[in-house]
Amino acid sequence: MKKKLFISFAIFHVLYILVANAGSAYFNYCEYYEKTVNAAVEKSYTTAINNKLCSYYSRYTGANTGFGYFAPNVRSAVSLTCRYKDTEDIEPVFKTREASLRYENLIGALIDHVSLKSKPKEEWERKTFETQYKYNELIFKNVAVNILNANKLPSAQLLMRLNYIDHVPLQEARKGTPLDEKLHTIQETKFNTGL
Amino acid sequence: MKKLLQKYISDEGIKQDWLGFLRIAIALFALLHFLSIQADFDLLFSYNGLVQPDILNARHSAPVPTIFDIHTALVKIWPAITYNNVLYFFRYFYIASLLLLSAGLFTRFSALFALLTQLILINSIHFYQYGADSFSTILLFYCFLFPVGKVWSLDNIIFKNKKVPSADTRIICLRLLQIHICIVYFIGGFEKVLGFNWHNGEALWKALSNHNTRGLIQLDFLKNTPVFFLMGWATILTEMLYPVFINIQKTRRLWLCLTIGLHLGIAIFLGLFFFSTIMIIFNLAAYYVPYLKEKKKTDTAPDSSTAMHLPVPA
Repeated sequence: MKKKLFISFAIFHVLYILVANAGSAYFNYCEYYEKTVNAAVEKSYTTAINNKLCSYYSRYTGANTGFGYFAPNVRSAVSLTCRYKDTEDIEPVFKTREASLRYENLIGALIDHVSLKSKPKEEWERKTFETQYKYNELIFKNVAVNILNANKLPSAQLLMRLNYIDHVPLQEARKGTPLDEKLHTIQETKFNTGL
Repeated sequence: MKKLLQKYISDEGIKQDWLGFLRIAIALFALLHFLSIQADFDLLFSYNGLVQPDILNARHSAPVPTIFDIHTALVKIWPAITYNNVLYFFRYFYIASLLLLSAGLFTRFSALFALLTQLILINSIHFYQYGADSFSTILLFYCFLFPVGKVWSLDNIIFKNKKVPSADTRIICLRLLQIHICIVYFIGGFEKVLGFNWHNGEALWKALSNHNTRGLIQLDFLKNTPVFFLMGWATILTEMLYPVFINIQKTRRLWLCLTIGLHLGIAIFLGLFFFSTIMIIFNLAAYYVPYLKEKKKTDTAPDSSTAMHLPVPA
């Protein structure tokens, strides 16, 4: 009895992981190639995987972990720059490599909702993601104050810019295009830290 | 079909050492991973951090509470408690749980506490999390689910527990672990093959060159060679064919080497050391340690050298 129960659970768990990941792969594919998501698939997926009970199960077992790392495309590198008094760029100071890596994930998460190639900056700023825009501003200010404190700098005007880094395609690089860092600003916020 | 399933879950050549390996390796990995951010702990978790906990909390996923949630709930019944009290409790409780888990003391409970504490800590800084955290959750869950405390544990010594998990239990647990890792690689490879940039080397060029600042070695100088094209397809094939060749005894070692090589590459060229380490542990626990003893057995029993361990058919 116990064995049968355990086998049943194992089969359910495997099927759950399969369905969750197959759905995730399909949605990633549709998003990347800008295809319309099949309504029936979306509804079935929401019913089977995205309900409240399953969200608990997924989170506590890790069954919802997506495995499509660097796929279907490698995302562009992003950066958050902080210009102090219109003169110098200052950055957070980390003692560990791992915290620095996690900080990069934080910045990446701020543009998770942006499809860089399909949504112009203006549309994103003004309409589609107004809430996210304001939320990002809050994070920028937090980061900025922390950087000032860490560098023991007096309050001043700061310009925070969330950028993605222009990627020079392989074919272009082969033709000799220089691999210089070209930043494209997605969001910028100017404020004074005289708090 | 039933016979095939029966055969698949009744392989008696597999020993139980892998359970001990999984428990100790994951506990020590999670401990090292957590210790690696201790010097910047306040910067990530506290109110003196880069982003304040209440702001991070505004966008966390509901199923798992954050330290902010727990503090908010506790302060109603215990007004004197500070955010840092709660934070530091979880910080040290997680370390203690992992130490107990690695030693195999109160194993089932220590695995459960380690899993819950890891989820709470990671969910509290959800914007900072990445693949290594997700795989820690998965493997800590398996440490809770599987009888990992029955092997190489203090529980066995202190509580004189000589009862070993049955062969059936061991094999079902192992198959679950194996099928999970097969899905991981197949889906990983499948999603890559869907991306046209993976077909021409562009994706790997983008990941490994240009502004990749974490890698130990820059590969820009290889732009005029077919390296990126070849490595891209090698990655796709290694991942997509993993479920086939890792389950054939004759090709298992080769595929393990290819897969571990892939993760060493990720560590060296992308700087994702902890992610690579946990994936290597996952591979070793599922497909190396369980067959260590089996090899000796097959040296004297050549008839079984072609045995296949296929995943459960759909």
